[in-house]
Amino acid sequence: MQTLFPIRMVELEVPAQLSVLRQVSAWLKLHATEWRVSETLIAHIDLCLNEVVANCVAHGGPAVTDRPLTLQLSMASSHDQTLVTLSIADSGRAFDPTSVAPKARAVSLSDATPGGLGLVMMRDSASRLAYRHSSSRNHIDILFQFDHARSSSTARLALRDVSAERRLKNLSWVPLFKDAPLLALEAVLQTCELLEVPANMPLLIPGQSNRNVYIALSGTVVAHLGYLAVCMRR
Amino acid sequence: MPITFDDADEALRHIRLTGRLDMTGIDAISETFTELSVATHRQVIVDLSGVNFLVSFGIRELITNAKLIQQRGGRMIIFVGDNKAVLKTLETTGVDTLIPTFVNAAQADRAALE
Repeated sequence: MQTLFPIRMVELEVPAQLSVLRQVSAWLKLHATEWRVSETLIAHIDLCLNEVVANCVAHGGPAVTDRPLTLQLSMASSHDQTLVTLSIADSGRAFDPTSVAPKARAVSLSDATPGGLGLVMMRDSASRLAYRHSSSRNHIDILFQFDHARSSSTARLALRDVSAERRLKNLSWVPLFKDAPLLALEAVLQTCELLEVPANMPLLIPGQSNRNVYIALSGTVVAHLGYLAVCMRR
Repeated sequence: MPITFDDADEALRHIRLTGRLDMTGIDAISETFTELSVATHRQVIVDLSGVNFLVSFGIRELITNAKLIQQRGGRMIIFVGDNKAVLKTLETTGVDTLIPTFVNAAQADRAALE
């Protein structure tokens, strides 16, 4: 079964100066490598980190140096997805990168104007950008979401867990499948994956998109809805 | 050196950039890059195959120098080799449509001499 990660987070404060760029890149690489983030994804995060820091220092005005930049890197994983978030807060002039329209492409070199490409590159590298302005600070969250490849060890686990497989084959007790033709269900189930989820492992995390239906064959599932926790046992 | 060059002949110059082209890396090569680009050679092939990190300020340098070369009646060509990350960045920003970009060195040379 693939390695699963709990939620992790690190934070760093640095002066709002261009000279810190290599330091913050090294900080990112140190932690992301330790968390087994792929080199490709680290390069994407590093690019966004460089673009945001360079942009706020260059265009943030005198107020940007009033307080240090705050960088936060966090990672959360479910069994099939990982979400890495880079958050950057600065005290410069308010600027919402999510409100900027994509730069129109130049049709010739003569028409090309340097600048405005950092945002294009960030939008291509990240899954999502989010912005808010509070306490006189710009807060930018850059989200990187990726799916895990199905591992062959998961398939072997499914074959070993015969009792669970039997339960999976007879799904008449699941309200969702009430009155559904068994032959159709069997065809769909051929493509399903049987998972053994360790205790306290999140199936879904806030901000994560989901394209799966989970059916609890045994054990307990807890859904946290704000302050309310709903517990379901099978 | 993160920037080197060689002159194939009086008309064609190869400029090779290597390493990390972040703000620090760009600061280190910017002046030399412009000096080499606007010298007497009309055609300039910029080799980015050894660049392992490229931020938007690096793209800005490429566009600025390509325009300077064009104003002198020459042309910049980019060679990326098998550097997929840099090629992707050039495609994402549309630079590959402004500055002819090649993965094959011989084709880049031919294009420069056309």
